[in-house]
Amino acid sequence: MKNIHAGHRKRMREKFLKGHAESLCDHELIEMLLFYCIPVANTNNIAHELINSFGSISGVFSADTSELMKVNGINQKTSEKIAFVGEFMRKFGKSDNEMFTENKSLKEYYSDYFRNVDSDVCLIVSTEQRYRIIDRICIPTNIFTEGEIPVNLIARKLLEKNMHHIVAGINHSKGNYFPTYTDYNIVQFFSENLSIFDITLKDCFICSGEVVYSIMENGFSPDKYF
Amino acid sequence: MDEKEFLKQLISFSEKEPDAERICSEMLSNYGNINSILDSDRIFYPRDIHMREQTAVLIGVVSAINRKCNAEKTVTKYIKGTDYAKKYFENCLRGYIQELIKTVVLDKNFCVLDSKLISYGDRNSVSSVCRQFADTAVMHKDAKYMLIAHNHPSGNPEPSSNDMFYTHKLVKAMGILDITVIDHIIVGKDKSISMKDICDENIFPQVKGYAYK
Repeated sequence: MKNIHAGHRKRMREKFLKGHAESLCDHELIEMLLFYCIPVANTNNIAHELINSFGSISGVFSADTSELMKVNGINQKTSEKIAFVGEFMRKFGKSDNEMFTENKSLKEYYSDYFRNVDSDVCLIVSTEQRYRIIDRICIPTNIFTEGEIPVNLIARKLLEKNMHHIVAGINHSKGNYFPTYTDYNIVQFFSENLSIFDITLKDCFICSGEVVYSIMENGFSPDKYF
Repeated sequence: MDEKEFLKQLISFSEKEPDAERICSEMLSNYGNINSILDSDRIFYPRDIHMREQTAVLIGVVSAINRKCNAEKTVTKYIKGTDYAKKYFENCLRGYIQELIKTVVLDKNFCVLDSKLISYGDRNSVSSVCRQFADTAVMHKDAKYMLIAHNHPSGNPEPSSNDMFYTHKLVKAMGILDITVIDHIIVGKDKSISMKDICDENIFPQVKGYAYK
């Protein structure tokens, strides 16, 4: 008799890869994480029980191992993995719940964000709300320099995140805050390809250490040049 | 454990050594730190980093769980008075470039059941706004009260004649569903206004247990 559950984990992964991560329910995300902790079992039931036991997804990842082990199906090894993921997120998963004030500008936000980043990456933030970052996406800048730029992927991602007004911040890990040819290429990319979807690049910051250089404030305007 | 050790341990859920070490080094070399990796998407991972599909999914799942956990930190459970309502809506709406209207559905104990945010674009489609709010309210059989708010991108929270017109219509529409609209807050740049405070009492019925001042 055919096992209807055969291939379930593969189907869940495909659903995750095809769709938006945010469309998955809390228990589905926990279920998928448990794929990596419990080799062969129905992790869907365990995920439901975890949420019921701890009240919320954040409750699950705040629980200590002894509490987690009280849930049916969670052994010591699994509880340690769940607790590890909780600690991982607390240490490295930055949230943006703070509101800006007049004193803390977007430039300071970028300066803080790139403080310990020693790679060339581009952080795009949505500026629909003047005093808080609503959403953001980080893209390595070599996407814009090596081979064909994946226009459809970038456009789709910004549309999925419902971005209209964006600011791009480009980290220069080598210490030079003056815009390079690559930086102007990135500005051109956003101005030419995304404006048709009502996605407007409001500014582009070049960040190097404590210095944040706004290319728009320094007289550059995409409308004029592209 | 340093950052690299943490990332390597996470990746080892899906990859064996030495691949876990290699992928960890390559990801950190491209992104700089774990926070940037969590803020990215697998479609932007450098093509020369070879990892199993399961590993890319793992990082994506942890990233999504992280966002949900962060979002839960700002969840409001109750809105029991005008001051709470103002703070809640200022948090949601202040600073938006476009005009948005938000509704919050409450039960009899002022516990938040649901909320909806829509664009306040077309001035003539008050029935469209009523419909969207009604759709949100009827999904909850315990819905008893509603709060409405919108922002003024100009910064001045004083209600316009259109705001008064919309409010009348929304209150009447929700009344048909036996849902009491407690107040309509307008969020400006530096302060917010409660229309209940400044309007005729006949628009908003007095609700027992709600702290108006």
